[in-house]
Amino acid sequence: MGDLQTLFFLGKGGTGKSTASALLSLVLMEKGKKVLLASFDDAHNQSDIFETDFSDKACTLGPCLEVLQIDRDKEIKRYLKKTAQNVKSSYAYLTAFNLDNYFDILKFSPGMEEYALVTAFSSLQKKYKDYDYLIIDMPPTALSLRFFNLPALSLIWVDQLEKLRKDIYKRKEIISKIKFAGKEFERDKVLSRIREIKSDYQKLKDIFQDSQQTNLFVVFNQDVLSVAETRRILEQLNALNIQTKGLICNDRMQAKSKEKINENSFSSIPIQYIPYSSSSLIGIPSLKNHILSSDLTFDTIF
Amino acid sequence: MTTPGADIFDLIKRLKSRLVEFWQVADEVARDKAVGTIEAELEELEYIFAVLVQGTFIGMPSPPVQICMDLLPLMEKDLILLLERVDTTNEPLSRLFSVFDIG
Repeated sequence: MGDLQTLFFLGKGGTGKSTASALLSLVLMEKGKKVLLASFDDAHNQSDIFETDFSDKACTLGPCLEVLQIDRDKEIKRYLKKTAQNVKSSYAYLTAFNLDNYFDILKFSPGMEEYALVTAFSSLQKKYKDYDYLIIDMPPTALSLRFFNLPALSLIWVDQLEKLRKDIYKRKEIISKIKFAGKEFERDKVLSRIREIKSDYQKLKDIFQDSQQTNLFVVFNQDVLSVAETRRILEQLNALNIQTKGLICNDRMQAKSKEKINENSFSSIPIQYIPYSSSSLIGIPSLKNHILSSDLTFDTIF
Repeated sequence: MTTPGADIFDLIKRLKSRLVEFWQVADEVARDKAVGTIEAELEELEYIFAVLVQGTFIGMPSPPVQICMDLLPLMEKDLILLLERVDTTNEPLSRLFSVFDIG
């Protein structure tokens, strides 16, 4: 056990990301692997699939399977509260800024949602590092892509801020040398913090780009919109240098109007098919039954 | 009664101490003058940094909010500078003149 592998399930809304991730979790559990299935999607589909009300505390569902539901609002509130406390403890003139009211509004700031997910992801990685698999059921495309883009985007800003802060530090050094004969001046805490932030985002970016520990699966259905969106997701992940390990084609309609998948359009990415199920895949017995009846092993992609 | 030699010695000693004092003041003034522009430049850079990171307080576009929040607890001085600048923002030329000691 150990050497945690992270498996992300993303794709267009309603394609079956939650079902596919639940099925793979059970397949791995049956193999005796220690699995944590974490839902990052506010739709709470895992609660419906497993007929259990999940929260941010892991709930044990099998010998080595635990499931939890990330509460984004709670994560944002926790983070803002911590920042407000830090501000209060380090500022002498707190009354000069009416920060409490400001913090109440900040939770609606753009970017907070993906940051909450990134924070949750980092803490899960630390907390469950002894597990074999961390399976993440992602929210629909837009938020998922913003999540994967966050480290790279933040690094662009952090690099510029570091450059500017270094210029400030250099001038302070010159002033200290001339004016105070080089006596030591206060270490720049802001610059140190910027370097810490930079290192954190760099690590996260490396994790996302490391195909040894991060596996991305895009779930789609055989319809025109789903296939088109999948293609765009692959392009965007490619632009971020994040590899897609496999595609999962979830057969949700036994209908004849299925879009014929042009295998070439997904280049060489392997595809796993999840066959159509006539009964709804709700509850562990039903999921296990579908795994057995359709001989689902996920071997093609994993 | 003191000897004439002692008087001269005392005079030289006082003169020396005055010279040292004068030298110290002159040195301090020279050093202050030498870094005056750099200090002004430093303040300007710190102001730019504050506007860049905490510009959201005054309605400016800013970095991802989590970066601002992470740095906020360490930026009390920068925020005070930002607020102080509100008073002089309308007179950029007079600030520039005072930096270069014109007028």
